[in-house]
Parts: sequence; structure tokens; C-alpha cells
Amino acid sequence: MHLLFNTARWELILLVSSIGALTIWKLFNSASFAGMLRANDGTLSPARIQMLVLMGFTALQYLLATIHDPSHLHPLPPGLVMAMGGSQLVYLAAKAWSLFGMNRNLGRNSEGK
Amino acid sequence: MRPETRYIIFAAAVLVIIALILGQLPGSDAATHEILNKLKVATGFTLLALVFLFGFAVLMYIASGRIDLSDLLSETGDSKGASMSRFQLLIFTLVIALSLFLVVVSNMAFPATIPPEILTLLGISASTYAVSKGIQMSANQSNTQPQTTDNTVVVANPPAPVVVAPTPVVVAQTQPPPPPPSVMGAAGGS
Repeated sequence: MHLLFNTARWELILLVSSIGALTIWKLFNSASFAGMLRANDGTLSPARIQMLVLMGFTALQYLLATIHDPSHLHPLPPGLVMAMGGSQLVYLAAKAWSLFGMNRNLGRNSEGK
Repeated sequence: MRPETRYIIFAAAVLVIIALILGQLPGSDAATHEILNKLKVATGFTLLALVFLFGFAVLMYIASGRIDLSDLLSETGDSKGASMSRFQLLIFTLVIALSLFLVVVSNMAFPATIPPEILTLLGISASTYAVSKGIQMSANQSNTQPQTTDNTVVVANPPAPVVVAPTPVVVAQTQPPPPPPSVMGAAGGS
């Protein structure tokens, strides 16, 4: 029975880790990242840049904390969670402003014609 | 019924029959107990092999491209290109899943508590994705319905008018009746 437990443990570790690694590898090889930092009108969007920076910082901080001490899941600082929420709010507001502002301009142009 | 389902049901039925036969075997309780333990181990290894084969098939499909991940970050509709909200949801999910995996592997046990901050972060991330989708959809809808100055909605592609063409009446042309046979002989016989 002990052999069965050990086999199940290592099989799941092997499967989960290889599926995760393969997914990340395929994603970075085949998926397109073009246009991620640009707004709908094609200009570089500061709201997206700030979100990307804060997201990278949070993800890296959490991953390093877990690698440093993998005995338990570490809590995130509440300030960082609030900052993430604010950052995403700014992103959504900028996206809505960009999309609906563009529509308004399109409407004005069509009226002018 | 799919062939895989049929095989699984067949294997389960065989195992149940073997267990019933072993349970009804005459002999001491210790011998029966030992045989049932062996059956339990054999079933466990069979299930492990099945899980491994399913996982390996998924791995092969991802590697060969039959499970296509190239559009995982792409936005659909009017705005083409990668989506930032999809990317952040993917990154947070991966980071927290990887952390959970590391904790489980190092302790060989599921963590007793999951900090609420992590759940909040995942909630914020998923809500951002959903709201972003909603904004995108409503912008696309307002693009397809241009409005005039008097607030009447103009349909972009009005349906084509239906014209009912009169069906031509075909009159069957009948052959004229054949002329009556000449009666020359009868008329000028005198």
C-alpha cells in the first residue's frame, strides 16, 4: 500500500508540473502579445503600463515569498491588495473612456458628414 | 455510448464481479482479507495507470497543437490583439496555483487555511476581466447601432424588401386540329 501512495504522489507531481510547464512554454511561444499595452486607438496606454508593472511586482513578490518558505500560503499585505484593486479600477476606467470616447468621436464625424 | 465509457463500465463490472466472488470464497477470514487487500492494490494501480494515460494524452495534445493555446490571450470582436485583463487573470491564477502546488509538495498535505487576501486578489482579477468584457461588448453594440440626431435608431443593414414576382402563366399550346381529309374524289366525280 505504501508503494501505491508513493506512486500516486509522484505521478501527480510529474503530471501537474509538466502540464503547467508545457502550457507556459506554448503560451510564450505561440500566443501573440501584440497590442496589449495599446489602447483601442493604437496609442500607448499609461493605465495598462501601470497595471502591468504592479501586477508583475505583486506576482513576483508572492512567488518569491512562497519559494523562500513553502510551509504555508503567505498572506498578501492589505495595502498591496488595495493598490491592485485601485490599479485595476484605473485600467477599467481608461478602457471605458477610450472605447466610449472613440464611439462619441465616430458619431460626431458621421454627423459632420 | 462512446467506446471509452463502454470500456470503463466493463472494467468496473469485472472488478465488482471479482470482488463478489472473492467475498463469497470459502476459507478463513484472514485469507479473504489478504486477497481483498491485493485486489484493492491492483485496483489502485489500474486507476493510476488510467489517470497517467489521460494526463499524458492531454500533454501530447498540447505539445502537438491539437489543443491550441495561441488564442488564449487574444480578444475577440472589434478590438483585435492581446487582452490585458485576460493576461492578468492568467498570471494571478498561475502564480497562486504554483504556490499552492509548492506548499502541497513540500508538506505533502493541503494547507489548513487559505489567506483571505489571496481570495480577494483572485476575485478582483476575475471581476476586472468580467467588467472589461462587458465594456467591450457594450462598445461593440453601440458601434453596430449608429444613432441619428433625433435619437432614432438606424439599423445598419436593413433587411432587403421582399418582392413577390407574379408567376408567369404558361398556356399550353395545343396542336391545331388536323384538316379534314380531302374529299376530292367525291366532289369532282361527275
